Amino acid sequence: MYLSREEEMMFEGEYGPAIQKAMQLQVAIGDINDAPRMIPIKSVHISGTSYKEARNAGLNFIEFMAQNKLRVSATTSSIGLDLNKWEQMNYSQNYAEKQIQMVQAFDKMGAINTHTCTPYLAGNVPTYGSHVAWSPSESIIAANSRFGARTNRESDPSSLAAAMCGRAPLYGYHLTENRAGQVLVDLQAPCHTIHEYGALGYFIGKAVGELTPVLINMPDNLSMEQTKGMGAAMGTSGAIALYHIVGHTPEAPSLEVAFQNNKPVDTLKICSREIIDTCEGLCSATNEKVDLVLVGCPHCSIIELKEIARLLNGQQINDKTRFWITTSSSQKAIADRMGITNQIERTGAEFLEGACLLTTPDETMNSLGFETIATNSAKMAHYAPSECNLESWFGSITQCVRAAITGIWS
Amino acid sequence: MNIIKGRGIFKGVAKGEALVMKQPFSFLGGVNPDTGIIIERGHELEGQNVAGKILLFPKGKGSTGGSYVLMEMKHQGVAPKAIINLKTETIIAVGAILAEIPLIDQLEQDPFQLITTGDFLEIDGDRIILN
Repeated sequence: MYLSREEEMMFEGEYGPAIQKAMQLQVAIGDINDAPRMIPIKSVHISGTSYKEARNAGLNFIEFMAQNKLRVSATTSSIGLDLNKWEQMNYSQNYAEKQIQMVQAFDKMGAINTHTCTPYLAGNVPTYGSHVAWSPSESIIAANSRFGARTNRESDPSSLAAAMCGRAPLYGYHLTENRAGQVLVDLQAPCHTIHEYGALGYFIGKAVGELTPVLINMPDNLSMEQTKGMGAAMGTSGAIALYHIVGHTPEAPSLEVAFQNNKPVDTLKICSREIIDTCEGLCSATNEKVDLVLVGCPHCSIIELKEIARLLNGQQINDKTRFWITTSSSQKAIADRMGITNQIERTGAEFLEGACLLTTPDETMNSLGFETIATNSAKMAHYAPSECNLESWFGSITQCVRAAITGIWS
Repeated sequence: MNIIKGRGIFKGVAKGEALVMKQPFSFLGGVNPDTGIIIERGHELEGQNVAGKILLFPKGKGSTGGSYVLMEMKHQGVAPKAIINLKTETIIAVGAILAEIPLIDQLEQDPFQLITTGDFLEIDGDRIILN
């Protein structure tokens, strides 16, 4: 592939070993994908920022990369613990030390440590048509679909490499013709709650794999929270990087524009049966006793935090159940100021700021004796069994709050 | 002896026993990185071990975290010896490149027609050698 003089210099190590490694990785990715050249990127969201995901091999790589400074603005994804309260939360000393080492490495290289999977709620907002390199799954889907920015499905190391050299290879979703819709998805089921949109996303992901779905007959007043849940689920069951919602997302003012005048390769009609079956399929639990309730996968917005406070209405959490709410520092700061944090914490529910349950170490989950989780996140319900050794109940935020209070799933 | 040519993403040499998966696979959430055992609930090969195997699956899916998992598996000595995909995607490719695990895709013939679990194979750069 063609490299500019500047890119060649990076590739040859003139700017340092980390930038060289980054450029070499980007070139390898470009070659695999027949990219003719590199393009400069405007922003990055770096994933693989928890010690559970990176482990020693990843930590070595990240510390190696911290020898140089990032060449483009980059925010970081969730980490494996809440930096404010890890000592009280049963994390092992070793895990905490390694996680803090990682945070320090990202700090050293000049990353903006936002520690969230919702960078667009933490100051990193991509603009329409801009080329970016975002990860992980829901962030990719959000950047492409909700904002009309352009990113490929970056991996953890390639998101870091992109930030380090400020370049991405020109292929895939950076090209207009690759952003055309491919599968027509006709929603013929009422979806209201975040969990129903999660089920919808999960079903679509499974059905279309990596193709680009175009959704029609979606409700007019879709919220960011609903599409956030849907996007996260799509990236879990499938390898979707982009979806269009006609009349809603920026690249889909009409069906023709969404498909770029191509014919759909397939059509999917989703009725209530599909949603109900998907919800049931995501429930792996059999014991109605709930040990842990988790809301905030992806991280809660301030609107969701307000809703949780309203549903809790000051009622105490069951003494045999923990209710964890994961959110970003930026949203929590608003909740703190508004007194919402206080209202929620007084019930016994707990915030995990900047953290992610899926990247919380196994030994923490085991030592806390959790067996059954209740969540309104399809992504969480899917991954909890293999990633956290938990059986899942999956349903609405209302059901989740009720489970937190009664200790029982109903 | 049958030689199938493909595209070497990470070119290396490997000899071993094939382990075949029909469905797309995610290393994150799919395997235990300490043991190589497949942990994805309901997976066709749940409970089996990928360590030291020549792993054939169509392509990657799901989490972007798969790259570091592959690197960690190599670090722990439980990585597959080589990977064969129909058409690899970035997460698997990056993991294989950084972990230095031979990865080959875009084969001239359908590997699923020619390779079954237990077959002994050799990977050399951009080709698969079947006995």
